Amino acid sequence: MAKRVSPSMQPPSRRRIVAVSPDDGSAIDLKQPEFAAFLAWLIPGLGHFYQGRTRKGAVYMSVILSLFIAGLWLGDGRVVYASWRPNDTRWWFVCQAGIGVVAAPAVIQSFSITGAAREPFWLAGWMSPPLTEGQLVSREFADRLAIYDPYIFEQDFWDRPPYKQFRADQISMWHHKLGRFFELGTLYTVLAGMLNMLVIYDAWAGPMHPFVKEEKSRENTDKNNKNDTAA
Amino acid sequence: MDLNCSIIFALFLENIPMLFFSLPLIAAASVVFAATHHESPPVIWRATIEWVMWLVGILGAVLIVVFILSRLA
Repeated sequence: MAKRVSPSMQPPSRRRIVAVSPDDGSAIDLKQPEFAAFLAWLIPGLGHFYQGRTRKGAVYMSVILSLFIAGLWLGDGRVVYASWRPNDTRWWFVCQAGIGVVAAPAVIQSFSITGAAREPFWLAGWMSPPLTEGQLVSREFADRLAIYDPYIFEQDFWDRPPYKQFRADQISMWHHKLGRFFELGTLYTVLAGMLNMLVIYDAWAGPMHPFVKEEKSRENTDKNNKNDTAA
Repeated sequence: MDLNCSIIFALFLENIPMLFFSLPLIAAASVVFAATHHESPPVIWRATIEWVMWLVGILGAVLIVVFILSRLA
């Protein structure tokens, strides 16, 4: 069995950053907190796995990913998209991006559909921003939408060789199709991203100490005792 | 219960199916809030129940007040 060395006894090169468990006062090795926080942002719970806090990491991972996937399912895969166009700015994505790599396809889809290709990277349109009125898209993507999307028809596009121009508003179609489930899906995914911010903080600094008042009163008592001794 | 209260109560019941969707959010938030304050799994689960009660109480009270005000307006 390896000899246990308290953090303060270790040489500077091997010194670990530790937090104190509020439950039993045991030390929690945070390893490299910044790297753990980055991992926690990348995939919820991954930072805790890196720190060896596997059970907590598993709880975070299952809860947050389940919430995010449930939101995607409620919103038919449409509620997570990145869009910064003047008439369709998706501020919710700032919160959704808190979940890290899981929301990354939305960025790729956004760049792809507004780029030279004029079509999403994944043609199924998953996590892709909605088409706005007058938006140019590739002919292949337009044909695909006309076949697979029950709300879009060939007549919804003007022919603008080498592209096709959309003449409707897809976000209205999504709202009509999904109703309040669009908002619910958005809420689930936004909350998943925001809760992951707390997970990132936990990976970086350890658990929040709930007994601040007790500590302060203990400090005050210590100070009073010292003053009494000095007097 | 007079007629107005019955109508308000009936309208509240009508919204219960959508309220069902808030339960996973409350549960998930409670688990994460509890886990960020504790390290040991048994303590985390106990704290989760406490957080659920707090969140349901606060959000429920706010919801009822907003609902009643919206009906009275």
